[in-house]
Amino acid sequence: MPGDLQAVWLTALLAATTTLLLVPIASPLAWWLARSASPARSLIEAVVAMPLVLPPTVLGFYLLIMLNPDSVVGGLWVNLTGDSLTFSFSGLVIASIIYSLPFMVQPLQAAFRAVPESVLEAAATLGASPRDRWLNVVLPMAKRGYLTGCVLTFAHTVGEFGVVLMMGGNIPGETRVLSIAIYEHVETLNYDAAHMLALGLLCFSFLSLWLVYRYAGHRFEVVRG
Amino acid sequence: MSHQLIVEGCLARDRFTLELDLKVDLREALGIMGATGAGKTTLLRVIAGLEPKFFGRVEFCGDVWHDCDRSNRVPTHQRGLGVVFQDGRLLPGRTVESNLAFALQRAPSGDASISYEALLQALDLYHLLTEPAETLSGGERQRAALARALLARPRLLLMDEPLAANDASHRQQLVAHLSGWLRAENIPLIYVSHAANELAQLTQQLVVLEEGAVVAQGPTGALLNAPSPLMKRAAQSMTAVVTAIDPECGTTTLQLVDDHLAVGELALGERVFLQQEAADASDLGASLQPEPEENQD
Amino acid sequence: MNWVSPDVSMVGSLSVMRCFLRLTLTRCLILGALLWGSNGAVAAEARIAVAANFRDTAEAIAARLEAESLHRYEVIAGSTGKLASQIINGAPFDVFMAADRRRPQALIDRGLAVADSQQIYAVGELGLWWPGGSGMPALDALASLQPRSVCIANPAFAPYGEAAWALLQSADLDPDWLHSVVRVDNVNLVAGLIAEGHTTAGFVARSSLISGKRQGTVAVADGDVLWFAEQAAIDQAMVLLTRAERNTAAQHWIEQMQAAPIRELIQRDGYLLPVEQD
Repeated sequence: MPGDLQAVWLTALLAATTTLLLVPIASPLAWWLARSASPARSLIEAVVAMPLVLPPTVLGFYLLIMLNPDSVVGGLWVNLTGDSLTFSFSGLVIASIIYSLPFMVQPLQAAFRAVPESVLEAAATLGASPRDRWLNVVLPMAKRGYLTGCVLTFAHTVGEFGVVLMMGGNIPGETRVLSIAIYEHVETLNYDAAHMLALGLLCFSFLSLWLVYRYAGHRFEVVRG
Repeated sequence: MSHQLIVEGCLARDRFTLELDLKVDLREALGIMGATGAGKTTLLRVIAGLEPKFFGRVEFCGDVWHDCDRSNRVPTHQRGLGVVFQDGRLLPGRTVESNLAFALQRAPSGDASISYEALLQALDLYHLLTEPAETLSGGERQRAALARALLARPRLLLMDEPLAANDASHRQQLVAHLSGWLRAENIPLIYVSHAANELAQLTQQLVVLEEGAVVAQGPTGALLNAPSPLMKRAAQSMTAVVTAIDPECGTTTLQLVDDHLAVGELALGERVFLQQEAADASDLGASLQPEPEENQD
Repeated sequence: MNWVSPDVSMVGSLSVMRCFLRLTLTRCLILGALLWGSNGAVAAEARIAVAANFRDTAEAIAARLEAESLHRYEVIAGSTGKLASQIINGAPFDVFMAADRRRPQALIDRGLAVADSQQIYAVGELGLWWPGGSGMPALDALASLQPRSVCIANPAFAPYGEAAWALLQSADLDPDWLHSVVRVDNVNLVAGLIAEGHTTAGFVARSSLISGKRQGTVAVADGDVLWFAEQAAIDQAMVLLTRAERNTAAQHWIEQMQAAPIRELIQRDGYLLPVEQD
């Protein structure tokens, strides 16, 4: 039981860290995708969307290769911190960021695309620099996109399994997240514990989706006579 | 040198190419006139810096705003402009008050002689301050946009048919207020409109555009009072014959004589309903002139 | 009007890296300071990666050692091959208790484990469990079953599965039949599946049956199991991993494997003890 609570806490921490880090990573990317007319755009869109269709084990496999101590990146990490990047919480965060990227980028891209160029032109004529326009015109208009992106990213990271299995291992307090804990309970025929965790996750996923649809799916329109 | 505006260059559009070689001294307010699609809005956008593909030069008061060499350009937000767009373009998701505050926060420091309250009073905006921008009617939107542009304390004011959505009584009041403010603040103005009376009251010089080129330039009074086919096309005025008079109601019925009106896109053969905007028929009378004899086309 | 360069995602991931370096570096600095400031006898933590069949025993040993000393132990179980692969890929374990000799040797060869720390800690027994079969189970009699009703641990990475596979091949069984036998992740699962009735027969470890009986999830009749003590003795070796060379908790664990009470524990759980250590 305490092991399971630890898994819940670890999962929440992983999801929250991933979501918080993805906001500044995905925002400029989504903005560029929303406004760019470059031919490279469709390529980047495809790359961003890959985690949607790629089997998680593929992603986990490549991450294992790229981040293990023998690789360039992993070796650098070991030199700097003494710890391996694979089978560590930090490694999971990196994996989750890649794995949940489309869930943050796509809602943001849609929200940014909905900001009319005419409004940005008007703001410019009022003396707003590009950064000013971004902070004071675009961001307030994109609030719903951020809500959707954050909720979806959080929920999606909570559900991560294949990637964690490949390069996370099952280390309590470090990489033993909820989905792995459930798997382990089933492996050891501990069905009661598995039921509890699985049902909990099911309710959580449902609640988060409901939240998204309720608050970000509709615009409240006030019609004046 | 001061107050001189130079716009030289060209910009390709779908239906025409804008070709300009314009030098004006903006100590006198400038009006821009022309039929729909002549390029008036495009010219305003070029001056505002919203057309990066413009190949040429824009200079104001000796400052180079736009050059073929990209590194010489001054971006829109640094030009000290006040722009009133045709559609108002209030910032969505904000109240009117918030829109006005947006302009105030970015205005250059210093005292303005148009006070905030005076502006709200004159433009009848008090009761709209807390309304979301999206719920305003066309006329209200334009008035709020006008207030917003003035509150930005601009070096140059650009207006694109800023009063068209307001009804006639409002329009007259607004023109009067506007001309008072412009004189008090000494703001250079470029005013795009079809309405001859507005141009006559607000501007001293006029430029007429047709298919992307300047076809007439000169003092407003002189150009407006010399009706020619060109001016007719620009003012979108029409020839009509008086067909009935009713002294009791005080109205006159007019029949349009083989003339046409240029508006936005419609389908060929489509039947449309033309709505007369003037609340008071006597308003229309001011623009009527007897048809001059030399007009033989 | 593009005012953002498309190189942003590169910048983004670099800043992520920087953030984590900072976080982990800080943690390491604090931990390092704590350890450095104390003498060597202070309590340490060790992660013990154990073959799945040894999980319960390892947890019992860990509980005992934690009660007797200040050290803390974390037991992580999995099939031998998987754990070895994880270690090669940088998994932060300190001691590796395999279900064979081959993997620990492989780690030593790669420089990931300390050569003279290798020792056999237990000898496992493989058995063919076939409840509800007629009389004592026999290898060739398996042919009468559907291959999908027969279960072994995956020979690709589980030593018990390898031994089971070798036994199956020595009997005269059809290659196609052999091909379709069910392979599961680790040897513990086999006992569970047979107990739950998901599969009819399979090759289990004695330790799995004992731990199952203890938990009450498994009921075994002696006549239902054929043991292969001589033909398929599973030498289970352990090593100290190089990253833990100075880890006092890890060293303590390894030393204690020779202690009498621990050896008794191991034996009680269904293993044979290694003859003697040299």
